[in-house]
Amino acid sequence: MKTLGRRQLLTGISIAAAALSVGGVGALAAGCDEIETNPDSDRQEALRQTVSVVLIPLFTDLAGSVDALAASADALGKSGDEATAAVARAALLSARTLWERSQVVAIGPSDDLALTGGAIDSWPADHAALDAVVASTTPIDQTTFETRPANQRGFPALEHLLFDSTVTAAVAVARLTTDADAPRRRAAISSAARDLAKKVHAVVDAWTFPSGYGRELAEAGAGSATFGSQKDAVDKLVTAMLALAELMVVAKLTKPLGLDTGAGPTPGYEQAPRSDFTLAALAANLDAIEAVYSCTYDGESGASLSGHVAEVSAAADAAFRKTLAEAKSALTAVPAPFRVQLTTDTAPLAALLTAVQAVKRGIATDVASPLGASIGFGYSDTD
Amino acid sequence: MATATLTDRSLAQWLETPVDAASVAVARIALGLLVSAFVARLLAKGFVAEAFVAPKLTFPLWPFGPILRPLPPAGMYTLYGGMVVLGLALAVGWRTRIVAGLLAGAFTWAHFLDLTHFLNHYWLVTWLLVWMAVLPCDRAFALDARTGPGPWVPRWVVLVLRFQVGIVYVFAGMAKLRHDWLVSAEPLRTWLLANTDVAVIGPAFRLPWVPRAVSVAGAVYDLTIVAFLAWRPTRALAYAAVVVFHLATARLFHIGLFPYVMIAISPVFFDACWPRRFVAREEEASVAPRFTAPPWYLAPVLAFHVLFPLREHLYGGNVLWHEQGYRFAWNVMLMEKMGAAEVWTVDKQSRTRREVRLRAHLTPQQEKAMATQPDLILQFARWLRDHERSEGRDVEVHADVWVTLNGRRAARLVDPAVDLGAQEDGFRGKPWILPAPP
Repeated sequence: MKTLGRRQLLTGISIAAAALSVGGVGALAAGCDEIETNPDSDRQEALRQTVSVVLIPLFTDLAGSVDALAASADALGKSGDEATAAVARAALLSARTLWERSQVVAIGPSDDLALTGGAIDSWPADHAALDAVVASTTPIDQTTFETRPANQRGFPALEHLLFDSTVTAAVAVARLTTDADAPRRRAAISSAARDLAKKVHAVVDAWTFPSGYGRELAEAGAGSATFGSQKDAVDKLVTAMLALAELMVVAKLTKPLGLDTGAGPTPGYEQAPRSDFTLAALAANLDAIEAVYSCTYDGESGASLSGHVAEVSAAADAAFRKTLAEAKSALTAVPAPFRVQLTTDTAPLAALLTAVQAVKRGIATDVASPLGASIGFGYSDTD
Repeated sequence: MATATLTDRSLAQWLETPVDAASVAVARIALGLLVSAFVARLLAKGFVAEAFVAPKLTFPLWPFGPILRPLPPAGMYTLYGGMVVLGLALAVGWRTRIVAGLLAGAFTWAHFLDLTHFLNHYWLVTWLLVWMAVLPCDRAFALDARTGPGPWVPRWVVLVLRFQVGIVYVFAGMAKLRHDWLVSAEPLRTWLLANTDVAVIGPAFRLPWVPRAVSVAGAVYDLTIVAFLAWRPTRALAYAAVVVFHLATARLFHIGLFPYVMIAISPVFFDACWPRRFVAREEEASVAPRFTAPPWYLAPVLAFHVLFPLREHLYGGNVLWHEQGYRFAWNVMLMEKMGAAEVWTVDKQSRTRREVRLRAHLTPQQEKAMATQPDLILQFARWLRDHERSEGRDVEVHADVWVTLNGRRAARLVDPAVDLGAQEDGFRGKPWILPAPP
């Protein structure tokens, strides 16, 4: 009887504990009005639209731009006049802008050395070697640049061949039109442009084919062989955004400013001094981070990662947007060109660096945390 | 006085009572197999190369840095391969105590080598292995049992294992009794929203009340499951809850070995003879021997387990932010914490400032982990100071580290004005850690 009584008592306590748990859950759940969840947002849709609204159009535009570049380089090779030179130069800057934007997703095919060979944008270029190609007597054909080292190919090589900000505009044009070695230079440009187009197309195709990487991202957790869950894909996108911000901080600003060595400005590390494209490249990078974050491109928009950040923390979303806007303002405040600013007054560049560091920090905290994203490139568990 | 003596003797007799060694043996087998599979998985995923071959430096547990240096690559692979074999040997009960001791040492040493990979539940695995080395867990279902005194152990052996599992649940439950978990429903809210594509239940994670309901249920589970497992009438249901709870966490979150260890070890709360439903005891083994009282050292060790996790309260503030006393205190699944660190040196003579590219020194995993843990930031700062000194530069090391914790806006973690290279590690509070945001 006594045993039975104790057992009844314990049973009663158990039932009471269980009831308390359930009741507590219910009561707390009912009183959690401050937790707001937008029932219309959907990560799958955000991934699909980031791919369809931003990435596929971006890569399609990029493919078109390198085709235009190759065509203009061919035209320059044939005509050798000032007008076609200007068209080729404009085509290079246009294509490079789109390439810089695409670096916000330097993942998958864009990060596949088997496709890129590292030969699309390895800067700084090997200027001496490129000058030697032009100066030599070895015939230049359409495949000449396919076998050159990475830093003698791609955008940096074409920039070297088409531009030179250290000489007057007339001299630079003469190199393409009337100088003795102008035909060889134009042939080199044509060869390098074809090589670049081929490499970029390999990347673009791998992104845009019906079974390509774009589809893998879009269908993460819903049939994707690469991404078993939506979280995997979100992790990848956030990590890619962070990697671009890191590239801007370290390679595009800290090194030219000489802040890694304490030696002061080091012009040799500027990304694109001959075409004065460095600031434009930074602008394209920031635009691309914003485009992927907010799912906007070329006037179109869609469900975005921003929406999901805001779902968890509207303050974090607003803060990151503000940080991006401030970085853009800091960029606008830098007088062009970068190379002149680097040797006259580095204060605006230092301010830009601080602003881009804030963007990087914002991705790692304000963006990644609300998304529950795991930033990283390797294997790790958590607790 | 006489009554007290009688009570002491009764308790001692109760503790010494022979019970079936089967449940302890099953725990041993499960642990051996799990550790073996876990380490094999690490090897297969390239963890050894990533964690011990690629890095220029590691982040050992203070103050054991001098003895926590990775072996050359061949040595690390051999160590991990050896752990796979030792796990299997533990499972089959061959040289059980020696094997368990070696495995405990190897597992603990390997996971203390670099805290950027350390997880709280490794501490549980360490202690379970230690108990396997100290306690007679080889009396049944073991090769060693062929020559042993029979399939019996004193009751206190089972109780020690129950204590070890119970302490994890209780402290994990107590750790959840905080604002972040119960009121803000963080970090579960963030984590569940990142898993809305999970089949069947995923869409429900987006309902506003679900994260808080799961948070409260999780705290109640941790705080009560030991009692429900210990009490026979609720035991089966409680164990079903253990299985469901841990399989759910294993599916939703990357927490490695932990869920499976808890599922595999929790049956130790069942009657000691529960495996006899499936494997009968041999006839000649039905006479139990007499056992002695628990060894004296149990009391201080068990007291250590109760007291050591409480040390975080000596520091004040938010332990999830400053992480002083965070490790070895069963603070599991309590935080979504992300950080970004900028580090620079200042030459003490020329006052020249140099930005440090972290990726030049750290792997991505190390950089990520370091950016949220003050003691690891300190370790890196001191390593960097020494590295610079070896190149002839006497420098200060500063860091600007911004961290977001459980949905709070990012805030500075450490004082960027402080020369971290000149700070010492230790149990003392670290005044250069800035207060947590509200």
